[in-house]
Amino acid sequence: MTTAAADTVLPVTQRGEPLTVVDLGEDRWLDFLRRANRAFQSGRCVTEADLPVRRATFARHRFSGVVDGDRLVATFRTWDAPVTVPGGSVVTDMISGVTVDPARRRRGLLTAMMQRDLHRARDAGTVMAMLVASQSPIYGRFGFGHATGALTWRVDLPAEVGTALPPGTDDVDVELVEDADLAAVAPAVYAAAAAGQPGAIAIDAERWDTTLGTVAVPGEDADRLRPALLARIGEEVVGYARYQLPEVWESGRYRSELTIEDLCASTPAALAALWRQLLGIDLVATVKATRPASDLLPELLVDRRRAAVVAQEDVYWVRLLDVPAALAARRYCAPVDVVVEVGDPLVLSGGRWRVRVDDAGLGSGHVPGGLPAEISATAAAPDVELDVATLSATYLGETSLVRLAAAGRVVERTPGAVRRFGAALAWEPTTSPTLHGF
Amino acid sequence: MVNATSPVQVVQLGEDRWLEFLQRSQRAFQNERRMTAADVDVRRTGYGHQRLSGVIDEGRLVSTFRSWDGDLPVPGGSTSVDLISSVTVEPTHRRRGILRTMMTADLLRARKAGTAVAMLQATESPIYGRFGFGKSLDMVTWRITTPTPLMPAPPGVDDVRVVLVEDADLAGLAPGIYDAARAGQPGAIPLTDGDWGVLLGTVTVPGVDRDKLRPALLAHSGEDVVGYARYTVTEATEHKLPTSELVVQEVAASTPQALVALWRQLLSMDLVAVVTAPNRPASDRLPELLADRRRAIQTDNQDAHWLRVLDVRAALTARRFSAPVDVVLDVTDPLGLATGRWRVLAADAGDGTAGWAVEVTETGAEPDVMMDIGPLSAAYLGETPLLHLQDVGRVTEHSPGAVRRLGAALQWQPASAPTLHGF
Repeated sequence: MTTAAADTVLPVTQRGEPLTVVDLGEDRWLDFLRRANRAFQSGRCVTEADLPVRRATFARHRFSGVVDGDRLVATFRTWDAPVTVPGGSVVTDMISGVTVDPARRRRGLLTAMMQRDLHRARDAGTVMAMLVASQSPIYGRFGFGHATGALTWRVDLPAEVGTALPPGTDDVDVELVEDADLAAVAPAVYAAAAAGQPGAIAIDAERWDTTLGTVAVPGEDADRLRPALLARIGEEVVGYARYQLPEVWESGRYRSELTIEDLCASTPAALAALWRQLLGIDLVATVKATRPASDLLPELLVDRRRAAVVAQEDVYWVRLLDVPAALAARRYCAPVDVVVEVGDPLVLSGGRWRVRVDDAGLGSGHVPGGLPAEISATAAAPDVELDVATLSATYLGETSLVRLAAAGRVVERTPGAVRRFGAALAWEPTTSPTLHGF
Repeated sequence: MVNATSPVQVVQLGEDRWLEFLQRSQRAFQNERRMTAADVDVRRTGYGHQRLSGVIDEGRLVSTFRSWDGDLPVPGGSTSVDLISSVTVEPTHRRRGILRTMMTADLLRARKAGTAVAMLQATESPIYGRFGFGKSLDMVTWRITTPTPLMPAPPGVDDVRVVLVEDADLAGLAPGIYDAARAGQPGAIPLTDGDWGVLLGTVTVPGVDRDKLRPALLAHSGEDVVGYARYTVTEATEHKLPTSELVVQEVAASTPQALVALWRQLLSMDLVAVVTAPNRPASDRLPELLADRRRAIQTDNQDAHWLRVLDVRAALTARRFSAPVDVVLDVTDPLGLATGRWRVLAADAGDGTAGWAVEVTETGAEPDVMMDIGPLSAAYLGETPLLHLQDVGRVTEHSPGAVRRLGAALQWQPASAPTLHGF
């Protein structure tokens, strides 16, 4: 836990008492969990038994909130962890457990908690913050932008895989295992896959235990089968899939739906081999999966229309805390030389910078990991003006700057500058691990 | 009689066969309406400029194929396109090579005529890949329950004046706006006067209810007309609450501000509970206009346009790239139309525009990237990522990083987002 920042005095009071955001110690964890889960409408009672599986993780997290008398009326939890960005990774302020008591809404509690944490993180040298929003309109005002989305596919079987498959797909052995069998191998495969998908988060050992069911989690049915697939090339594990398959038997026919909970591969061949197996399990009528936009599924099918997008959603929201450091921490796909003016409503990281991506030797400049940028403060006239939420939205390479400009969120002072800067920011992921919540 | 072993002969069809052509093709597409001479009349001007062909077996037309020339917006420019439609084979004459014969004949003709690309919409997705077509554009259908809170109007949007009109009022105006809008959306097809007559209801079309209201919006900026929207509303109420659905048939604008203004109006209609917008390009900015982006739900997402490069040099030099690149590209064409090896060089156009100008020269040098014509065609309009096609083994990289570089150069964000028209 970091040293307590100066407590923020809220502009509102309850019964005449000033409310402040305070750091919360271990003695408040249970209370925190109860309040937060109730606000998120979890239907389960939280008890002491819920703490042990979380203890090691919580010890690394920062808990804060607002206490009114004895009562915790707002919660906020953050921790530092690496997040993949185009061509690299940056230590990120991960934000979760953000709730305000329904009886204390509209009094500035969220603003106070968020400002306090973002300032703390910026002062600690953290270059970006990230969260998953319970509702979409909440976090834009704090400078967060929607950076990474997911699609839910429904595939009606049979769906033949195969006109074009990645080289080596047939060399991948896929075997039926269960979640617990993944314990020793999944973390490394996930880490390899996460490195190719901007936005992919780090998963700690305790979370692997609860995800794979190797520790007892209160409220989880320990008798439920946890089917999984493991993909190998020779001895090397290159992918895994975790799924649920409740039997549905209607009118003398199987109508089971297979839901892919987690699909992760370190190579396209492994991903294709896993998809082929998941779409080829007997007695299954439909397969459903929520996947990053970069998934190859339609390209793997003989008939791409067998895969229907049934939902699309925003997943990760990013907030840059140190614009020049963040821009220098990622790689780019196109050269650019542009002066960018960034506005920041929270006065954390506004300013004007020259972003220069040099195409060192065009003829030989095939840089597999992308091109680095030089970022320097400048007083030159800006080519592009935008607020930090807009830049944050485009930072992971998925959200298009040109599209945001067309929606009126970017001012272009030099014709063509938005397209040039947008082309440099755009980035195609090389893998597509399932995007995990946090 | 045409059987599995006899050679298939494709013939050009004159005006005397137009009705039969329409009847056969509409029946194959499972249209339930009987086609008559009145249906041919609506299409007469169009057919007069188009190539209609097919196979005749014992006096009977057993397959149909129609194509025509147009100009196609591509990233940062435009090129010549062979638009293909009405491709059918009688259910009794399948699997005899009729489609292959018709398709290769037309593509070869187009290539010889100097046309850069061909494009079509597929009734079924697996059909056209074998002829070198690649899926180039997606389109989505949005569903938004209203009223829905909107983001504050961006600068300039409040200067756009939106007025309620009807389709017929758009007659002299919509074509110009559409052409300005489609210039910024690669793959958006050209429309003829005949098409506009049908779209706006200014000509009588058999089977179309003449008494149905055709509401529309027109957007003005000062004296200029800068956008339009065409929609239908089906009135409904439940428990005295309005549950009407507004379907946005088409929205197009020549400026981003006009498109935003039209969307804001369409989403703010009294007595409307649901707004549905089909055939929207993937580049649509609709979610960004909503205070809560999750209120824009994608209820459908489908492949829209399939493109086929016929002449690699003509096609690539007609467009701009998003990034500079210098690669040797080896292309294999199973139909032999576009096979070759080229040095593809994109450099600053020097005219202050954002895209990079492309030079293509034949070369015998070692290739950096090799692929079939299909993946190049799929990536050509800038929407389909080349990296995905590499991942599934359809692009081979000989110089590390070359596919990412070429992919970044080919990728292109549309500058506008007109509703996509079928053809």
